[in-house]
Amino acid sequence: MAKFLDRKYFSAIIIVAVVVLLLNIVPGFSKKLGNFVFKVFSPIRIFVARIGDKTIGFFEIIINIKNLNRENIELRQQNKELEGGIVKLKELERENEELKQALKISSENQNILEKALIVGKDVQGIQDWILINRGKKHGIEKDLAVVSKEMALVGRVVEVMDSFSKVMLITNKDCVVAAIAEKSRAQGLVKKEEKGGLFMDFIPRTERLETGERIITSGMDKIYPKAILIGKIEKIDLSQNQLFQKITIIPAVDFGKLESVFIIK
Amino acid sequence: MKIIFTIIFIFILLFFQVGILPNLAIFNAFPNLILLSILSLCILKEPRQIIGWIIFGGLFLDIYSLSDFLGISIISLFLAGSIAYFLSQNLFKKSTKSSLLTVFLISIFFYNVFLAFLFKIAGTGFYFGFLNFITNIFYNLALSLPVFGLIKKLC
Repeated sequence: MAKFLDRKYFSAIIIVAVVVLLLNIVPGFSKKLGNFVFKVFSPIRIFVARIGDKTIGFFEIIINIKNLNRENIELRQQNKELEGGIVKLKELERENEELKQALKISSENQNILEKALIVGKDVQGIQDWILINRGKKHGIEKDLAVVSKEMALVGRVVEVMDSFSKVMLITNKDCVVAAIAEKSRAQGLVKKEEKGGLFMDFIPRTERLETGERIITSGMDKIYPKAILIGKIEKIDLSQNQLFQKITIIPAVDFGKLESVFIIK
Repeated sequence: MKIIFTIIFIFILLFFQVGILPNLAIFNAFPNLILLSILSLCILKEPRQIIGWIIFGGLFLDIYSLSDFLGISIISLFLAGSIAYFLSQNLFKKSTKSSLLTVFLISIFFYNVFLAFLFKIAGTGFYFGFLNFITNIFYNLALSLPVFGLIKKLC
């Protein structure tokens, strides 16, 4: 222990730690340093992450090769169903446009999406954050909602730097999303679950929900726009000793595989 | 030459940590290669030889934790490294697998405790999840011996 507490070594560490801690007092220093480091290292990080994703993807294919045939049949069936749905939706879209024109509703209120790449993730797993390569320069502001390319909810911007922004994922313990069940219209709040997933709270026991039902944003929190997909109901807990039902949700986004996102401006 | 080699190695480690490991999360926990490397070095080397590792690695972890508070990982790494060194020099002198695992287990446990405690003090909204805490320790422990072996070969 004596060697480890060697005066020179001990003093060096203490001095550096104190200096670094004092730097936190300087307003905006950590943000500026972060912005600089992210700028320098993000291209390399993206390159490494892509190699990693491809490697992981390759091994996943090998592991799941047995299930591919069954999945293929299921997907073909789903595809047929979706094709029918698309025809219906196109017809509705046309009707919607006609009605908009008749009622003179402009399309100015439609959301503008800004694409961003994920250039960083919390490396210690302390909190569920991601870092995106869009910041003040690109017109990003705090509290803007962030979605995946499939238009499923990812989170919201909580901090904006010059060229980067920090996004709090919906799986973060501080994140609460006002949500509604698509069919039953039951409203509640979506929060983080201990195991890392999501659950919907404050649903009265009298409400009848089904597993597989889609949960979307209700827009009641004034942060997340209405009707963005959050996930599907996985399990419904109707335990007698609880005031509300506990609805476990499978998020629509695979946060581990996210590479890019869209910010709703 | 050795310094250049060390810097390159640290960079490879950092990018592996930042780019790949967050994708291998179990209950939101994933291995911390920087911690495991520093603990291995604390067991294998003289403390003064790893000051750079602790400062550089700690600062990088702080920045990429997106926590807005610098210095927490440096202090946690230093304290966990001190524990690893003390245990390996005094209580577990024989470098058997079981003794190494014990040193790693205790040091990783305390690293996570220090980290949680310091983040709480700094008021950065640290979330303590028991499942995440336990998974984190054992996930890191599972990789500790391979990382130790690699560091030993490279030293």
